[in-house]
Amino acid sequence: MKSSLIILSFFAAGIFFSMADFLPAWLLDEKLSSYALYLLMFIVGVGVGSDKAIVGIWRQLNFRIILIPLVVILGSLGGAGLLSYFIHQINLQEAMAVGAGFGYYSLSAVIIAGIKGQELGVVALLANIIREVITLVMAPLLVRFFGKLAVIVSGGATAMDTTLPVVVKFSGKEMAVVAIFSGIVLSLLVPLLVPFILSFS
Amino acid sequence: MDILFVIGFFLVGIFLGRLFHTRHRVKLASEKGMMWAVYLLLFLLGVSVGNNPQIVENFHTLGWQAFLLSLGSLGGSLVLGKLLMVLYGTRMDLKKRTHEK
Repeated sequence: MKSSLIILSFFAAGIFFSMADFLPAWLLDEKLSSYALYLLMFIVGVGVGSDKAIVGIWRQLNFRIILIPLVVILGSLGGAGLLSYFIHQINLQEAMAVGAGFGYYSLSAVIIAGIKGQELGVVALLANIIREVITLVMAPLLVRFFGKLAVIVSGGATAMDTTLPVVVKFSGKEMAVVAIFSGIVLSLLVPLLVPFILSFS
Repeated sequence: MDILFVIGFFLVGIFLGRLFHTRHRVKLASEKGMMWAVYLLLFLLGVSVGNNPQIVENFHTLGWQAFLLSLGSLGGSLVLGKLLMVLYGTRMDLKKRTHEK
């Protein structure tokens, strides 16, 4: 929760300083954001490539456990895509890219903003924050109506960190391993899936 | 074209990360670096949002769009997750499966 606040305060500070006209004009150059995004993608890649635990995860895989992140992928992309029918400013592709954030709002928002522009970036930021907040706040209700997996699938990528405590509390300790697994797989897929979805023109 | 760079840098990163995965410092540096890169990008996103009166004026519209999309993602995931529980019941436990190998 603390790190969420830090992340959001950087966004808020950006808005505040630019509205107060505090900043030099070169900060507004879109090229700067593009280069920073490339740098981020490179660093995320190094993190993924150098992570030994990730290799270990692939060994743990069994068919049923893979189904959980798969359900989140299909459900998030499908559900967001379906509702894009009611939002005329957002098309199917953009909605699916926002859905593919899986709650990982910081990374998905900056990738989407870099590729599709700030407006969709803001939508992605808000949509994925809302996803996390609903998961945290509604956890007991979700478990009651949708079963033990509910918090894990609604938490998406955050099931490995920010929403893990509510998974443990409302789904049970034995679900923690599954939650972490699903969360890690989804977090890894965000930087791959979001650009991939947006690459179709 | 932008998108190719985005994916390309990611793949090059993975390759180099694999290459140097025995060095613990690489992993630590990437975690720290990623954090600061995300902070920088969110700050820059904030800067361009604050400078774009159209976004500031339409913030509630964007909020609604975001709300609908998050409901869609949540609803889809929850319904399919429920289906998975109905199909496999309590056998979704990782621990029970690992010793079968």
